[in-house]
Amino acid sequence: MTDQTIPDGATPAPGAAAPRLPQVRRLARSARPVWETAFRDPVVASHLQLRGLNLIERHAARFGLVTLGMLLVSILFTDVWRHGELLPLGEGDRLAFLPTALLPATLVTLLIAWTLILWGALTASPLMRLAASLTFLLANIWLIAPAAVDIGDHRALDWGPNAVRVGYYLVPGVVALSGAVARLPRIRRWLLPVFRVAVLGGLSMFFLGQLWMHLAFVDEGFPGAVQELVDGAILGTANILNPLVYVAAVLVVDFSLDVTEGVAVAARDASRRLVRWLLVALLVVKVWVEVVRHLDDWTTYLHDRPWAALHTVTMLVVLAVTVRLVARFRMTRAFDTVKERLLYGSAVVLSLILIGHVVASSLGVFAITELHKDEIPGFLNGYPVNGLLTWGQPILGALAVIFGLWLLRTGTEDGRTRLPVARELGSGLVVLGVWLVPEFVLNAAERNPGFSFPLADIVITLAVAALLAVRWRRTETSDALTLTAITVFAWLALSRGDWIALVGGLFGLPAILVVVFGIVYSVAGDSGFTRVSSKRMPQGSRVLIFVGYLVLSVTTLHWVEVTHAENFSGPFSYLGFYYLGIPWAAWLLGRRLIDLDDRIDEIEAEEDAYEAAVAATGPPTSGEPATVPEP
Amino acid sequence: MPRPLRSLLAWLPAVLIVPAAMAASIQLSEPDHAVNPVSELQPFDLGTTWVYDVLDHGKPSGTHTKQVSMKAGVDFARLDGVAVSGAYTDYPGVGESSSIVYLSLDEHAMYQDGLRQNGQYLKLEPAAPAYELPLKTGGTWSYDGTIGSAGLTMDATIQDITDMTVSGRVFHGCLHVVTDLDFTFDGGGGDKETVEEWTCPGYGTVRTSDSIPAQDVEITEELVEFHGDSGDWFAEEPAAVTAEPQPGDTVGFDAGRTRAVPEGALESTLAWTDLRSADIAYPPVSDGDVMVLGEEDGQVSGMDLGNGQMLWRRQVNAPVIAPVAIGAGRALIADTDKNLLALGTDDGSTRWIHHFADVVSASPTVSGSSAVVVTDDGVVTALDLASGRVVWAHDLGVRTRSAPAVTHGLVVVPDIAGSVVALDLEDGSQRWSRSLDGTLTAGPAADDERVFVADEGGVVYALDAADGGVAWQTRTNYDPEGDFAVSADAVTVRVGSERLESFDLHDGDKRWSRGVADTELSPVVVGDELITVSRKAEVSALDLGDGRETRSWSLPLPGAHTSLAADVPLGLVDGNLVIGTAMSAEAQRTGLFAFPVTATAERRGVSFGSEIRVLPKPPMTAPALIGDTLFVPGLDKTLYRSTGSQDVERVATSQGIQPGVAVRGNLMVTQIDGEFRGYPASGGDPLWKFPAQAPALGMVSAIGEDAVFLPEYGAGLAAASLDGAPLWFTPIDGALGATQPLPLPDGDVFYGSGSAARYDGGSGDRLWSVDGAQLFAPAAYSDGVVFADLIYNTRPSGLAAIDAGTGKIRWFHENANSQTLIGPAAAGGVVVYGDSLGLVTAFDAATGTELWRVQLSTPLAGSPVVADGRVYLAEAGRDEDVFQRDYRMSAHDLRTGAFLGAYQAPGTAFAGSPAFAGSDDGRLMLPTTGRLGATMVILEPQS
Repeated sequence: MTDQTIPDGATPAPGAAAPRLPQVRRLARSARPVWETAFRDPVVASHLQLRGLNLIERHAARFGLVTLGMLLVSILFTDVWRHGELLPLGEGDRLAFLPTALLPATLVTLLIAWTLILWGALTASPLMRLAASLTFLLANIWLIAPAAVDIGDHRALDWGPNAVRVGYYLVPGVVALSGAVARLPRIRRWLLPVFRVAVLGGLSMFFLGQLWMHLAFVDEGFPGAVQELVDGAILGTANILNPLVYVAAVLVVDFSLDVTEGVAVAARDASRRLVRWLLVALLVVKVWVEVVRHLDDWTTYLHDRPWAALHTVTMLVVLAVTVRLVARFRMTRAFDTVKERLLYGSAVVLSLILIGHVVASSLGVFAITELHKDEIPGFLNGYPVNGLLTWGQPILGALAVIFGLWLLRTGTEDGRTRLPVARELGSGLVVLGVWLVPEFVLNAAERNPGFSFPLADIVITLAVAALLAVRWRRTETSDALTLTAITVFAWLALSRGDWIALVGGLFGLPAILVVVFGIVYSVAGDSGFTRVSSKRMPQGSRVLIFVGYLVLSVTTLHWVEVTHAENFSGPFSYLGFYYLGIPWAAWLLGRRLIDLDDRIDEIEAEEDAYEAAVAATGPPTSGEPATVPEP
Repeated sequence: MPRPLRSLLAWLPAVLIVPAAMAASIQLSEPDHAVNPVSELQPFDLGTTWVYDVLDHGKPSGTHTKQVSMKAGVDFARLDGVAVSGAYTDYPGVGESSSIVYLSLDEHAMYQDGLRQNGQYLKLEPAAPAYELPLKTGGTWSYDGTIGSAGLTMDATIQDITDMTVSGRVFHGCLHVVTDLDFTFDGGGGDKETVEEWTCPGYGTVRTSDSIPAQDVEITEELVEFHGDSGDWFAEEPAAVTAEPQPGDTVGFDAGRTRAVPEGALESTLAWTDLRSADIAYPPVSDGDVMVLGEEDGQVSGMDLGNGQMLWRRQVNAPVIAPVAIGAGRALIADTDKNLLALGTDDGSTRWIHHFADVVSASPTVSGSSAVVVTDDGVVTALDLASGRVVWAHDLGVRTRSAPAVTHGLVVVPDIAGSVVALDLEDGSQRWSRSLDGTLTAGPAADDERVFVADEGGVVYALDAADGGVAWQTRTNYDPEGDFAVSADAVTVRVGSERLESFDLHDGDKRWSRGVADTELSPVVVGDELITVSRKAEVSALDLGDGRETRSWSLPLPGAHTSLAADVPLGLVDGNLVIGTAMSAEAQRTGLFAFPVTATAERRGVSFGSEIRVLPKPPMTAPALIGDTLFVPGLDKTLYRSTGSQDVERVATSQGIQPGVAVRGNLMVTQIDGEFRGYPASGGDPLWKFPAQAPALGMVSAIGEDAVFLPEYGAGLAAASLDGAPLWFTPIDGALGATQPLPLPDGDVFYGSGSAARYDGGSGDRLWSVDGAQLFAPAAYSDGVVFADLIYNTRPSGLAAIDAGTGKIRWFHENANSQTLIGPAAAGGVVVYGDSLGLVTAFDAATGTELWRVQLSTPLAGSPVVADGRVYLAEAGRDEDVFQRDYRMSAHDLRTGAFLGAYQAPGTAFAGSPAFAGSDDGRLMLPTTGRLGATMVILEPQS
């Protein structure tokens, strides 16, 4: 943490001796590291940054964030939507049910999402603009099919289809056209507002045109076809949701580590004896809760699925060895940046095959609806999704290992770090790849015996217990804290967010809270990349596209959750935890917890420095945080 | 301004505008339908049911059950009407009686559009107001129009608006309406009738009093039961009922959803088929007597499994969203309005309606006296089967869409988060719960000891039913999907779409894993075989022990260019495994193919190959088919000749009606206005012409071995040689009967117009006649006997078996409901006859003993067709209703009447006159309407 800041609310009295603190303040002081590590630090360091955006972009982003917030809150209370009339969606034995109010709300959020994405694209590089235009065309082709039939005397049903069609082609046309003038700064500057208005107008024609037609159907007492089109569009492109769900799943692991680390740091002042016995108590409780209470189940498991148990233990050992080999180096300044990019990058790459399927399907629909083909062209219909999942994924995993090793080599020279980013990224990729390759290969060979999250937790716990027993006399406070943190982290992380759901359940919130939490955490604590600019994507562009993507994805998630369509979030959360969460946890463990004793030293040094700074300059008086020199 | 405040204010536009935009869009989308006070007064919702006690002069006379049974539209301007079915168990002076009333609504009034009674539709012209706004004391409305051929005037007055006590309950704000009616019949006369009724908001009519003083009619009806949007109300607490489990009474075959028939062996010969024109998503269920099927358009039907009689059809708000469950005489139907309706399996009337907070998209489970229902919001509710009242409810807290499995007093329900919860069937308390590693992907199924589930990690669990402990677990290398098939030794599950894996029931050891043809259906166990059906409708039987395929067969295709897609879970109906498929055939959407799994279920079922002939116009009268050539007299008075799907040519156009055609060999004879014409069947100009009287419906010429017999309307009967040369003409007094000459094997002819008589084929001399009898329908001949529906002026009419040689009547069955234009069919020692009320009866041809009977919903659409030991019956349906679904052809065993197959066409395509017919080679012609417009479906029965 290089830009460590401490908010004034947490300021100790300057230069004061350490009088005996009241009980509450002592408790607050002890809990402060949890707050700082799990919430404050990530948010301060990596929250979505609107500063630096121009007025229009800032307001647009705020519109998006408010929409996002409303959708996320709404996801937690989907039953409210279903109190009214429900319209059946789809056919066959897997119907979904659409609350009548959801369709207009969704069309509005889609309008906001695409406005953000395409406005963001308008200030990005020409290539990005082209990509955004194509994405819009493909993602929305499902909505272009005529939804109007000749009923009643409605202007909406006469004009609506044409308005929708004009909007559909106007929007990408404007964005693509803007790319053509990207190299003409003078024209570009005054044309940008025009382009924005044109894009907004086109999107309004497209989405609100659908709404207009829907209203006409409602007025005539017919269910109409708009909701089926929107449902088809959302389910047809639902795989764009995957990266977000993967990220949300992994961020729960990340958050678990933050909480764990905070707890450990909070206990740094405790005596060695106390920490050791607390660890023993924790181990006993955990073993009792997780093992003894379910002894019959474990016996059955080990008897019935020895290969799964062996696989679980083996993969843990492989991960541990890999982490020991490639991730055991002092944390660099690049860690947070790399962590963030690795997180988003791996989630996107792992989703690419399914996103490719969306593209192929959309092209197929385009061929039928716009090119008037009788059937989907063979090369699109035959998109080898299963083959790619079977064989493409192991190859991706292997490439991650190879590239990671190359980066590690590039980033290290004579045992010294030369390029921190390369080394951090390399270690992450190797850990990820080493986990994924055998898993994917076993899947491809149809020989995967399965992995047990609870068993992995137990194995880690028993390993900690064994280590503690062997090194009881040599275990210092910091060692005991590290082992405590590992034990707690394994418990939290390998429960795959159940603890968050459990806490939420106390307040009557549904299990989807875990995904919602992950999404919120990504905005609040893992959006550092929106603070910087590049030639291809200035900061304003990044923020709008990122927020637009979030709104789009959460609109999809919201639709699926409210209509009770296929359970997308559950299986993808599971896959996210399995494929990314576990190696991610191992890597984080290696990069952060193993250095926990150093971190504790670091925090104590920060506190000393803070107190020294305050003593020298007086307490901060404004809302500005006091900058603390890097220790 | 302080910075924090400034920062907050910067968010203000977004915080205000985004919610406002959403709220505005939602508000705009709310339908702005003004509710007509009439619909609040008289419920219009599908399924609403009233039961009245009927009193005749104050004495009990059975009950009257009335139900909003389906959507209907007798007028294209008012397609949102309803049909209200009514049934009296003992209508005073009549006995059992039923009717359908068509009602519609506009912003001013509720109208009665027509009435179907005694097999006839009586249209009200114009529609008569049943209630008219404003609904206030002193309000009046009048009517002057016709019903059928009778005149009707009516004056209604709202006497007062008052509270009304009926069956011990006070109904508030009831409209007291007195209506005076006056009918004028064709022959003049008609008595005045006064109807007094009390109609109460939300409950409709609660009491009526109907009097016709001139006929001493005084009938009173009082509401004793109501089921509708206002809830369920019983004047007397309904008697408790208990369901006796029947194999196939729910999806998954039983309450444990084992999908297993332990005893039996699947036969590859069809027991019966049922081809329908609407999509289905769920298999039929049965209590052993009645098969209930819910279709995607909201239609629910109950079919008698013995003779295929369609006992009832009802409609719920479409689509039916969960598999139907059946028990204790009730079929449980879930609709999109979050209702669960319990329909009586005997008559389809609603026994109760329960409204839930969310939809019921998983099949309910019937057990004992309860129905256990899982709603999408994750609430498990047990309802009393008799009354529909809540016995207990348990909120899982997580949404679920899985049907519960019931075993040993436990209700096992999974949720989407991967938990399996067992509830006590008695009180809903939680007995145990078990969290899986991921979302449930297969199950639950339960046998006596264990519950089987699989999660998205590919792990199959056997949980102890007693405490939820893991008895065993094993992992598949693929993703388990769908449902388990649980036999005595093994549990089998589909993994992916092309593999089955079987595990030892006791320890979970894998017994075998094998690839199968692409399928989306879960397998079932029959005896010691595992049955799987591929997406392309190929049935495979695998050895349950080792997974080896022992045999396979394909379902019969309706045509060369059509296909089947097996996508409906397998069902078990009265000892038959039922395979449901989507069909790509024109005018056909769904096929149910039943194969016997027990010896008692074996029948000689029939399926139908189908060929479509597109017609320029629907037929006016019955078509004729010879080889590939189809002749259809069109409604536009043009005779068409069709030789292929789209190959149609005009043969001739007449000024008057086209009575029909006769074909034999390469000769086709028809009447075009004032002449009979003989055409080559292969096409071309007329071979000959013969003078004719004016054409009349039903008077169709007939071609014998050596002669053509030509009915001369009002004059007599003529004969010509096959090349058109006149042979003879025999004048007949009053030859007005709508019948066709019946050539007899020895060259003579039986003809019933004017007088039922036999005529010499060479001279036209009358050989014998039946005194005082004539025919208005064709006759049939078999084994020396003529079977004819004799109409007498002076004595009761009826079906007679007449010795063809002597003219003596061998046996006679009186029948007061003779049907014009439709006569009996005979072969194989059986004669089959249908009356104008839709009652079809089969008699032993030799003795006249009744063999079997089927009551159709509507009269026949053509004479029965007998071929190959089967009889085919087509019922006309309700062509007054543009949504009608009763047009259906069924096949029955000729000797026993056992149901063998049915074909339901999407819609009628004829106008009153019978148009269903058979060809000499056993094919059937059924006119219909489909995507291509008017079409003729040529059906070829296939065993």
